[in-house]
Amino acid sequence: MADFTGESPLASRAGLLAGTSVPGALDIGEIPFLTQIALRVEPEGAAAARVGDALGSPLPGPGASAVAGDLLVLWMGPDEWLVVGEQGRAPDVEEALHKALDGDHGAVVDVSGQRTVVEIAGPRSEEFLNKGCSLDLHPSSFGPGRCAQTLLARTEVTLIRRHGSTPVFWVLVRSSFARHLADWSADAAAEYGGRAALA
Amino acid sequence: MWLVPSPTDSTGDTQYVDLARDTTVADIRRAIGAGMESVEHIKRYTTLSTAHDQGKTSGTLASGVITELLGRSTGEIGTTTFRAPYTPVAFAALAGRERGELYDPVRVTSIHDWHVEQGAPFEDVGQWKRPWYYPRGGEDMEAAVLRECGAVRGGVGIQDVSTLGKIDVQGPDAAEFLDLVYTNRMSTLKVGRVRYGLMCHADGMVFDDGTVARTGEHRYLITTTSGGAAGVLQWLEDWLQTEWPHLRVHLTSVTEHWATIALAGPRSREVLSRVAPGMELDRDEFPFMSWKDGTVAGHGARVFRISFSGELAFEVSVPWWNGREVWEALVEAGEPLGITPYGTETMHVLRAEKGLPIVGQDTDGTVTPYDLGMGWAVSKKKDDFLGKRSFTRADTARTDRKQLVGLLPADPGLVLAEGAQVVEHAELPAPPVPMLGHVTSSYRSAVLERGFALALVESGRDRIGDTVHATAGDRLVAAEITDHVFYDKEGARRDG
Repeated sequence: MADFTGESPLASRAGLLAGTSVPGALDIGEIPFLTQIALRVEPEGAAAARVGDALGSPLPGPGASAVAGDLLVLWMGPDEWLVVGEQGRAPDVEEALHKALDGDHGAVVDVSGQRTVVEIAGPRSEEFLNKGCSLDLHPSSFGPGRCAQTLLARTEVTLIRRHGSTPVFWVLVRSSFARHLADWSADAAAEYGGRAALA
Repeated sequence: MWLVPSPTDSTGDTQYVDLARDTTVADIRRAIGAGMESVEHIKRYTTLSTAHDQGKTSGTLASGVITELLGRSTGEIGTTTFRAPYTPVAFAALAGRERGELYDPVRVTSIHDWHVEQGAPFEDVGQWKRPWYYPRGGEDMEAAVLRECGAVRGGVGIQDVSTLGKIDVQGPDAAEFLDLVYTNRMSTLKVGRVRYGLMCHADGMVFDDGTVARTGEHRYLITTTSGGAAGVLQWLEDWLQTEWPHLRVHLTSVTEHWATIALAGPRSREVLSRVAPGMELDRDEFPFMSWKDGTVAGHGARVFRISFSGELAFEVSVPWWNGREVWEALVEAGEPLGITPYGTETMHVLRAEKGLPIVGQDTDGTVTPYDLGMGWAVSKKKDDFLGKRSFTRADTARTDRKQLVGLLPADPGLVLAEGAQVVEHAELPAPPVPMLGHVTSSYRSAVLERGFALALVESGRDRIGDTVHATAGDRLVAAEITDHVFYDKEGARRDG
């Protein structure tokens, strides 16, 4: 998509997030414009199995995410998933999912603009998130690949712990709430040496 | 000494021991008279020291008074058991970091910074910030709103309507489902067309409204009020999951996938054509209440021909991240035509001139579609829909219910207060004064050149032409009941 132009929900907060990050402790930044496709399908049916085949990984179960090639599949509810990929993948992912549903009852909706992704990494990230999220984020209960819909800074988010040698979390936040989350982050990171002031 | 004798109060009825619980010396006397000696018993008998301060302001005094009335020493009597917090807790400690900018999440659209740069004050709609009006050169709100209204009626205006809730509805039973949740029929809507819809709770009272666009044989895009989006989605999911699980329908919120921009006014088509050269926009190719996909300012867009002002209007939806760019392209294209950004206040005035209600302002959970004069939006043919059964209930079917009508103050310069009570006569009778209703919306109109209002009035539609009176400060002022549509009753303006 050579001609792509756009302003991500946190474009105006890029400097704030950079200032919020603390070398060796916390690294926060937006990953904008990712493809996000909402998928609804009966989890036990043949269509769900065909979707799994098409993606190259079975649809993940409750509280889990699955890496399927260059896509990430998040469990969002009993018959609901979110397929996340690189920017610009919406048309081909949609087509693949429609093809896999093959007319069976299901829904495929492009919601790429609905949320943006904030990556939070570093040894302090767990403690940082727990300032505004009441889930137990210790690796023994929220290990790599876990996925939850929860509240962070009183904002509805989808939280995932990514695989990695150091802690890495993805927060999917609604576009209209993203700035609030960034502003909260700047405040919450101050004690680790984050030098960003509230916008 | 704990107890000061009063020359006028021998029982202690006016001598307060606990200001939070209104416990008096007389209450303590009564407890002791009933045989209680322990402070713990007296506490529970009188509720003394059980309020939010847990006795911090009354405990010591109470022990002193009891000591004196029993003729014992303070040490013998003791105190009640102290409970946490032992020392006052500052509100700041309870609030933590949730203060100032972080007090409550604020939701903004992708065009928000443009509104800030233009100096617009904002109105809170749920957690959203919406531009209220755009003052120019020291204008006050009234002057700015009159100017914005005049621009939309006479030229072209532009408004950020991204906050409207949007829900994708799809599945083989989507049409049947929407027929059940809206009062009118959505299954007969053709692909490419849009219909206005009202939703009622089971009691037949209006609780949300919006548009329904059929985007495919088994797919619709519905809109909700800005503040009602989450509630409507939850309401629809409730019915799907608990009452109609056999319906094959999926709902997906797409509110923030799209940034949506309204272009309204007789010259809106001209502005849009400058940035959407590939789209056929004339009235035959793109009729009122239809939608089209196209390219606007270089971006894939879905354009709706719907209007909340009665004027020729378009709503342009583009991906959230292109919102500001497309907005600026439209503003630039409209500049030679005097395009005027307008806020929620102007939107409210324009829709009131057309008699269109705002759910939650002109309704309060006790208003039916018929009360709003929108019986046309209630299907007589459908077997069932939420609210239908209640319309046959005696009280809901009364013809003398409060109905939405217009009110024109006899003094054209006067703008009635919203919430003002409506009564029959200029002279109030002895109480209780019968109330006929109240003003729900009231503004000054640029196009009518006067103040006008919408009001819910008993038997209002049968009383058109009557003079009633409304409270205005400490006066009662005369106003004529009129039809609720003030401007362009025949709908001649919607095609430009």
